[in-house]
Amino acid sequence: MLKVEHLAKVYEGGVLALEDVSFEVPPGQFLAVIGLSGSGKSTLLRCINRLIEPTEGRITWNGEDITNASQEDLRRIRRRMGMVFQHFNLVERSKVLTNVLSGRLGYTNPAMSLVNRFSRDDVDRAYAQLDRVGLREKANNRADELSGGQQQRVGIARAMIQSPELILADEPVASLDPVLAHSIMQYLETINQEEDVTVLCSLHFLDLVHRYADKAIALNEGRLVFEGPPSEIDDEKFKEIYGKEAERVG
Amino acid sequence: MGRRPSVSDENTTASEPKRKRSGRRWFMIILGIALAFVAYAFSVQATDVDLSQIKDETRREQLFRILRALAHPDLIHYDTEEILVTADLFVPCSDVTPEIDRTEPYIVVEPSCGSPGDIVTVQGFGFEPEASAGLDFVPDSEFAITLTLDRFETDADGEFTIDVELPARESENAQQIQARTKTEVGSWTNRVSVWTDANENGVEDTGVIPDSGEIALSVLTGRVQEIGAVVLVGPDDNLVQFISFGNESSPTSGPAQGEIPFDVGEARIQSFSGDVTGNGAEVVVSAADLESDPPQVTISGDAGTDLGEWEVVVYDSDELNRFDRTAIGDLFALSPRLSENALETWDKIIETVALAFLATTVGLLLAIPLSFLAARNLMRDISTPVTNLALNMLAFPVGLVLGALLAGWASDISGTLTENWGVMVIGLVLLPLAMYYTIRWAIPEHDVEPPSTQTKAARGAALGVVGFAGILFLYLFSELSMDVGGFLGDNLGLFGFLGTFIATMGELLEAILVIISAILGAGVLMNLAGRLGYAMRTRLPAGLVRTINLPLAAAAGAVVAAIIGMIINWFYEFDNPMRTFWIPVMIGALIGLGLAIRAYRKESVGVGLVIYYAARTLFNTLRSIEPLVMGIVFVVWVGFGPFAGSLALALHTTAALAKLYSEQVESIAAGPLEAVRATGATRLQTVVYAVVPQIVPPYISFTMYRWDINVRMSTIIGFVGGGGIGFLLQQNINLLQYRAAAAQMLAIAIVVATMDYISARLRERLV
Repeated sequence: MLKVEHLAKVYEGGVLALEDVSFEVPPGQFLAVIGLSGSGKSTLLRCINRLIEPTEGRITWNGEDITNASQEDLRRIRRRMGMVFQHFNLVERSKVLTNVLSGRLGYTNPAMSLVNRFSRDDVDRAYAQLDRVGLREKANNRADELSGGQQQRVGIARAMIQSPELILADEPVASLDPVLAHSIMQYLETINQEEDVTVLCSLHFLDLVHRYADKAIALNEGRLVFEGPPSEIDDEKFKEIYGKEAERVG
Repeated sequence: MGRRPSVSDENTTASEPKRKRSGRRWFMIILGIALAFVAYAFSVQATDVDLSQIKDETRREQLFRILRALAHPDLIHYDTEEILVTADLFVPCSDVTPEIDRTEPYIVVEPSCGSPGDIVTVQGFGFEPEASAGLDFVPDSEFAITLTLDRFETDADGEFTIDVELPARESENAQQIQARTKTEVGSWTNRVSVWTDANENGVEDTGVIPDSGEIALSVLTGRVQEIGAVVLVGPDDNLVQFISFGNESSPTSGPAQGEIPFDVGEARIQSFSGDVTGNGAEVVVSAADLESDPPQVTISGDAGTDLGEWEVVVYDSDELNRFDRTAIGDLFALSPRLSENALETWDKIIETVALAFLATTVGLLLAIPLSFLAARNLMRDISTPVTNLALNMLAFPVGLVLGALLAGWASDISGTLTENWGVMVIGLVLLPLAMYYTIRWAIPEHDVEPPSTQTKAARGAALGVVGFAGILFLYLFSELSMDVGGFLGDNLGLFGFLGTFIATMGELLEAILVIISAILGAGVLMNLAGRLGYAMRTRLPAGLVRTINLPLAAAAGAVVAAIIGMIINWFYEFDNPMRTFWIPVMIGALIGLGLAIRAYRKESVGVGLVIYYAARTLFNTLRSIEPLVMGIVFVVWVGFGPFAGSLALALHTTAALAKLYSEQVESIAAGPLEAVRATGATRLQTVVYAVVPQIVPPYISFTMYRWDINVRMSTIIGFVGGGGIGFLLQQNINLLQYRAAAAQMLAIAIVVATMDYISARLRERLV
């Protein structure tokens, strides 16, 4: 159970990114986070694994307080949370295999990493994850030789090699064309349904929300403006979430 | 497909008509031009621009002479041969008419007699065309003297006509007018062997022991003095045999063994037998007759042994000063050949390139880790709670001292261990093995579950022991390197420098181990302090922690201030504890207290940025000091020579590369960094997996660029005594030997251009 309580984030310079956000995510849920660009979706996701330090509020996960965790505890928490990014965030000059293996860094002793070494077991896992996303034969290619869709599949492999209980996906399909978007979303769906991994996914397209999410929360200027099943997002709710001038395009 | 929300955005930007402000603009332009005029006028005056100098005839001639000299670099040496042509002459006139020898070349004096002060015309025929020549008057005298009359150049046909005044030298006998010209011996297609009588005995000696097995040699030709010792010296000045007379003295080098081969009465002889020639032959001084004039020394050995580069050195009897060296063989050389200057230039240009190479490597190795400290994006979010910061600042100096003490201890232990070879080798084998297995235990490949406190403590202690064992091992290793390197250096002959390198590296390792150990000690203690701080913050109530922070911060401030005070005192030698210790400590404590109060509510302090700014400032300061200036300081420290130069360049390279590198780190893509951090990677792992792969190409590129700069810099670092070709160049310029300087300039140009080309190609390849 992931519990977010009264979360607030004020950036340097006084920009208010999140304000009093509270919600709960039971294990195994596929939660979509929607809202306009700049509404705080990315900040919210990054506060959960503390890539961004929250200003106020508390986040607890399985009873453990993330917001006050020491660096050592945070490392143990982060390695059970995979993260997938809009721009894939692969190390482009590194091999695909190395990119996937970097998902094991949370488990690897730093002294081993200094000499660039992963255990046999980790390498086997990496190949298994590459099999899952169908990129085994690309293992020794440089990451920047792959297409966008392939890169995001590597991103998913990197998250999944962490054996996560939770996946934070920050607009995972926003840089991909519609066909690829569905294939990536299907990977996340499979992971959610077959391996019981909780997924927090921020999304742009409402139909993706309807198609994949169990539940949605919506942010507008840092405030939580909607929480409920996607089917409840009607025109009125839509205007509330996206503002009066918004129109549905499709 | 999807329904995507969009927000219509009304554009309500109103455009205002532009107001012309041309009056003000014109005023600014005119003011700018006026200011520029003043600035240039002042600069021209300040730089002493004087166009009349450019037009000056004599200056121009000097310029042309230098330019021509530069166009003729002194690279090839021709031996010259002097050709003397004489014609008889009577002063005053007598009834004898001198005969003219008309074999080429010849000179004709017209008239062929005269009184002192008369003008005669000298004509020469059949000389080298356009050769410089001298004209002398050779008077009738029992001494070999000549009086120079004139210097001139022959014309294109090899002829000349000169009027000279006859000197006041009267004689009944025929006197002579003599024309001297020099010709170069040999040509590249037909090189001629030229002999120089090095031992001044008038005979061409090859220095090869003849079938008789003996070479007799006159030493101290022309000077008879009390001889104290006779020494036989082999090539490269290695002492082969030392025979002393009178005063007791001992050899300074070489193996001291062997029998006294001959009896010279009271003389103490030390003869060094063994393979002195390197090919199994033995050479000794077999007899010395010091009573005769000049004294005779006989050297015997196997027939056919080449002693061409050997010498007999004679010392006086009072102070044993070396006052004569006699070569056994004469000097033979081919003409033309590469000049001394060319050979020296070659030596120095090699030194220059090596200097640049070392400086770049050392700078690179230091700059890589330092560059991360000066990268804003890596340092920005390093922050630490006030408690930890204060504890760390207290732990840092203590850790340094402890580490240094441990290093001293390890060095002592290593000293005892290395007395015995067996123990040393066992230590060198066992220590790494023990360390390896301890590390395997203390640092498991995976840290899946948080270990218990006891396990953590045990592991920490084990790692501490491993750290100490590591230092001890490195001490042993450096000792071994020095021994092995020294042995190889003595026995590898031509490749002895490889052994010397190993020995030097061992010595270097030994020297920096104290520093490494001190830093390790500081690191360990700061780590412990961090853990203590964390424990305090989690176990104690927040208010209490904040209260404890105040004295802690004050103490930390005091310690820092005391250290700064000590540094200042070291520079200025106030030696006044009140001013250099107590007052700074109080101020430091107050500052610490103040900072703690300011950060009272704040959780943490951004240490990263402080380090970032400190590193930036340091690099910028170091970078702005020219390597030439640094060279002066290092020359004072380590003496003249390329070592000082390479240290200066290495320091500048470190600062410059660290800055360039850190800018590259700042410009890397942030995404991968974030992604790797999100996996739970530590800061170190993030650097290895997300930063390093991104910065490899720019790092290579900047290193190449710096290598270029260093080659160029190393060519002039010699101006301040930093070794390399610059020293030679400056020397030749100061001695007005422009032709020699031209050779060095040429060498620099070739090397810089070649390096430029190579590095450009490498950059293309690698990046």
